[in-house]
Amino acid sequence: MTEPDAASEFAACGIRDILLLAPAGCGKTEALALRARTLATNGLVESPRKQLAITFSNRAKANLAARFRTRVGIGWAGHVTLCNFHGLAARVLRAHGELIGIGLDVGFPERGWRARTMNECGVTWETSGLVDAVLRTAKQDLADDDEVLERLRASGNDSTLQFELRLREENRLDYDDLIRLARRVLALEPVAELYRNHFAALLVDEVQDLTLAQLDLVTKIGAGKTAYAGDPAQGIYGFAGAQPDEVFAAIDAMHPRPYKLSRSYRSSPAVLNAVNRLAAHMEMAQLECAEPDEWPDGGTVALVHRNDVDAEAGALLEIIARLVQDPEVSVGVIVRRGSRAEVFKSSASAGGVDFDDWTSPTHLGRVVELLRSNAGTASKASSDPSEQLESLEELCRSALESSDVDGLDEVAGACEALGELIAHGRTLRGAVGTCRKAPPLDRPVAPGIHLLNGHIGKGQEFDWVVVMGLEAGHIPDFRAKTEADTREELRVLHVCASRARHGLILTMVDEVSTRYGSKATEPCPWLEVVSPALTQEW
Amino acid sequence: MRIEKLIWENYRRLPDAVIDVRDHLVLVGPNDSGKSSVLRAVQICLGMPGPQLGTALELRDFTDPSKPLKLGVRLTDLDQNERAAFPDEVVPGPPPLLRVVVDAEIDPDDGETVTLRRGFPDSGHSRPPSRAQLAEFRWAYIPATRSLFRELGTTSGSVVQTLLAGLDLSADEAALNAAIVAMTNALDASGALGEFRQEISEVLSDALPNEVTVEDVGLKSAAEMQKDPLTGVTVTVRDGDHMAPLAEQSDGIRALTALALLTMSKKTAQIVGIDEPETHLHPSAQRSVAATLRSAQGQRLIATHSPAIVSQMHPSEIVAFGADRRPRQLRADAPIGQAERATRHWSNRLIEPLTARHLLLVEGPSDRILVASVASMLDIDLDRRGVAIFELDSCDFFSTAYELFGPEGFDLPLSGLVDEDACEAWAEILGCDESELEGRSMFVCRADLEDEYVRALGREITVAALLASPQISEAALLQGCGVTSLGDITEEMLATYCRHKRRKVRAALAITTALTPDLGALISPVAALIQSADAT
Repeated sequence: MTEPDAASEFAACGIRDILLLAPAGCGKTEALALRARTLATNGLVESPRKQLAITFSNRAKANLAARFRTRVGIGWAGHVTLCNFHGLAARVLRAHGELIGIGLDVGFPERGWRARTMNECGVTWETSGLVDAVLRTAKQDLADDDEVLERLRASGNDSTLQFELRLREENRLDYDDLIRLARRVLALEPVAELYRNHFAALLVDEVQDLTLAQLDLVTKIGAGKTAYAGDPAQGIYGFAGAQPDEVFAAIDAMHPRPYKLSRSYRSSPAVLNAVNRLAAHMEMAQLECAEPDEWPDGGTVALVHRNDVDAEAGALLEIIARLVQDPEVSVGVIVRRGSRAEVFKSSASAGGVDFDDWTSPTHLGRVVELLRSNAGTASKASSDPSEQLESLEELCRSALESSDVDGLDEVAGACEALGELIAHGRTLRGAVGTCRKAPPLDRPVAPGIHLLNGHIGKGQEFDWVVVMGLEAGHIPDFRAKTEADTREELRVLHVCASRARHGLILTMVDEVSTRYGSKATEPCPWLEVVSPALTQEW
Repeated sequence: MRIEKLIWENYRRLPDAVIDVRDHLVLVGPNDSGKSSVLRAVQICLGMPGPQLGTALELRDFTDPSKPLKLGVRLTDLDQNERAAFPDEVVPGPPPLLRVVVDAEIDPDDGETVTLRRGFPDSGHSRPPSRAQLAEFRWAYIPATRSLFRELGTTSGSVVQTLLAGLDLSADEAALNAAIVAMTNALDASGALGEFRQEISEVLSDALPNEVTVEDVGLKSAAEMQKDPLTGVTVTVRDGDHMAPLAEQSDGIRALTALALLTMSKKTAQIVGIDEPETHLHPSAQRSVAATLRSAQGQRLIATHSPAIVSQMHPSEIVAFGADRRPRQLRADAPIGQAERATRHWSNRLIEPLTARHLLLVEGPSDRILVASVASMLDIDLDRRGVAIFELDSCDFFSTAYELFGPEGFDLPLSGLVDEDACEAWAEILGCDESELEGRSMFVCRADLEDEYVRALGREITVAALLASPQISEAALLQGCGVTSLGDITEEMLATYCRHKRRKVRAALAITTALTPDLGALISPVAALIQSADAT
């Protein structure tokens, strides 16, 4: 089935398992929101029963929330519970964890604590991938705590065992534990029945990013009544354990009614040309432009080719300055690696160019708001700035629901960043003052310049997108060893490129500086896939 | 869904307590004993909208302002639809349970600001009940002060409006909307109203800074303004030759109507708390109200002074507050088989004994008359001390009374007056030896009360007292005693005369006129009975 019928038929389909295959920019969020509206208004899901919409990240959650507001209405939250996997798992654990011995005092995962503790357990940057994979494997089913320990011992990876013991010592859970334990609770039939009864229909977004464990969590509540939506071409979380092939196979085994979108409402013909070339290289479906005549000059795909990263940053800033002369225009600068972003950041700061840094831990709107509204009270708590910071963190935490795993993690991350500023002599108020007032999460893309990476940018769109550094070793990342890793790198590039509405700007340099001095680069192997789509060289 | 338990701590002047709620709950007790406080506690837990909670509790609601106050409701029998509203909050069981708790504290700094939190202690979260969840409790509360006029009227939130709001009008939506439009058109077309609008526009043009034309002034019905065709719609019932709005019926009819309507719709309320439903009602109407409340679906929590209402309820549903405000009720495993029959029999006079501080069990009216009189001779005010005298009607009912009022029942402090010939039976019921009866506050008249008082007063005084009664003539007394001269009457004859079942009460009344404190003290089982109540 093709749209526009596909989206509306997906929205109108009764409650059952269905699958929406929706490539980038084809109106997936809209289709999901329309489906939520249908179910809310036609009496299929009536209060006190609700729909459950599960997204992957807080940003995706905010996007969907904004669309629910426009489509379902201001009271949408009375019809739809919107959460991510961690939030759902934490909610179930908080409510019924005691049935499997999980008390209310158990700590939820935080990235800051995790990174520090991993470090203390001897995990390095090089070994972290393996450690995560061993932990993930040990916790991927319903194993109890003893069994997990047994498996970690058997793995021979001592760091994982040490880390696990630290978790137990501090009565904390890791991300994999959240999902594993929530599944254990939901394996208790009376508990599962409570949620199956409450949630009359489910929407699960970005299924290509799911693990089988997460899928199992969903089906324990939503078997037979779930709308899955996703796009195999956008699976970029394999490094974090996502199992797109297995998950799609498992969903197919449920015989969902399939719907497929293939018309892009987002991108200009030029951008689509580039995106389609990458898609073809991945053996993925081609998209057609919904309104090809609406785009001035049919859009732009440009290459900025310079000698080194400084020249690249300079050229980019000039180009972007021209673009943002139009006060309505948004530009997303997407970098693959943090080091490349630093050059851009310092050049931009030196040139007085204002931009939103999405990679900053204090960027998230809700966190900044919490920090600001509590900074006054916290600074009265003590005269010592680091004690003030402790009190600020406590105040912010208590303002959040105890099952808001990501919110609590964001607060922890932001306070850690503030701690560094305070260690460098800032006052608490001064440190909080440096937090940029971020735009609200539900309308994240304001006009102006945004700096982000391929993963954070998922689900977003910008009038112009700059993808920096099309050099081998950067894209694909030199750490991508296996063919599967390399394919995922291609999907990251595809996700970056498909964020663009009007124009896509690719950059590359001939040499990069390493700690051993300058080094000549090879072009990204996929540049030649895209280059027939170039309309300009700048 | 129904309430299974209620708890309160540090609440008003009530001692901390947990009570069981069975099919229904009937709260009885003297004025100001806490009945209404209990209904209000449930209202705060299950009914009060969030925004009103801030002022729900005040300083005076705390027994001890330095301690936290706690109110709690435990619900059970949740059906599938009800469980659907509480996925995190229900304890899955089996059987599934739901607890709602209100915790309140007084700010120690200012000594008056109350912070209050309503939540689900088993949910693992701290969110208060959502609006949808509050609605799902389906609790309705009718305080004693609630105006029945309002309840039956057109104000939103009234019983009638709630019933109307629950109706599905979608099939007739078009017709009803067309009627609103027609009404609006008629208002617009009316000549008199047109002039009225013209007049308003002129007056407003003078009064306001900008000119107001006649087109700027509209006349709208409430139904159109509210976008609800039922706004202002009221229910009428034929009264003779005209249809009268419910709200304009007599007090009694309004009370009956409101209570009957409350039980009508499942949507309106499953658990209804009613404070003093007997207000405005004749006793026979009270009985029929109670029967309606009983038979309707759902659970009723009733605070009442009405014996007629209590008589319709099961003893296990009664919670009695005495003067000490401690709630008393039958235990879940109480042997209420006999007691239930007794309540039917005693139904109209249960409230007083159940709410007493001490209960004196006597056989019949003559005993009661004499006990009351001796007490007043001894200068002991039984009412003020919360001592109730309860007539068994027959000493055979002692076992029933003991089941209902005794340690396995409402557990009231008990004393009793028993004739010698019933001693053995009572001792067996108490599980003690006859010689131990007195130690159990059961005082024995040997052989019966008449013997006791004749012995205490003596021949002369008894004869004089009887003859002083306008209803007893000398001839009748002589004939009754089977002698021809007053001088031949023995104490034994007098006792026999007095215990005759047709003369018992008359004789007891006559005797009371001759009592003095000294003589009263001489009727030793009676005096001991009264002392036993005084001692508790």
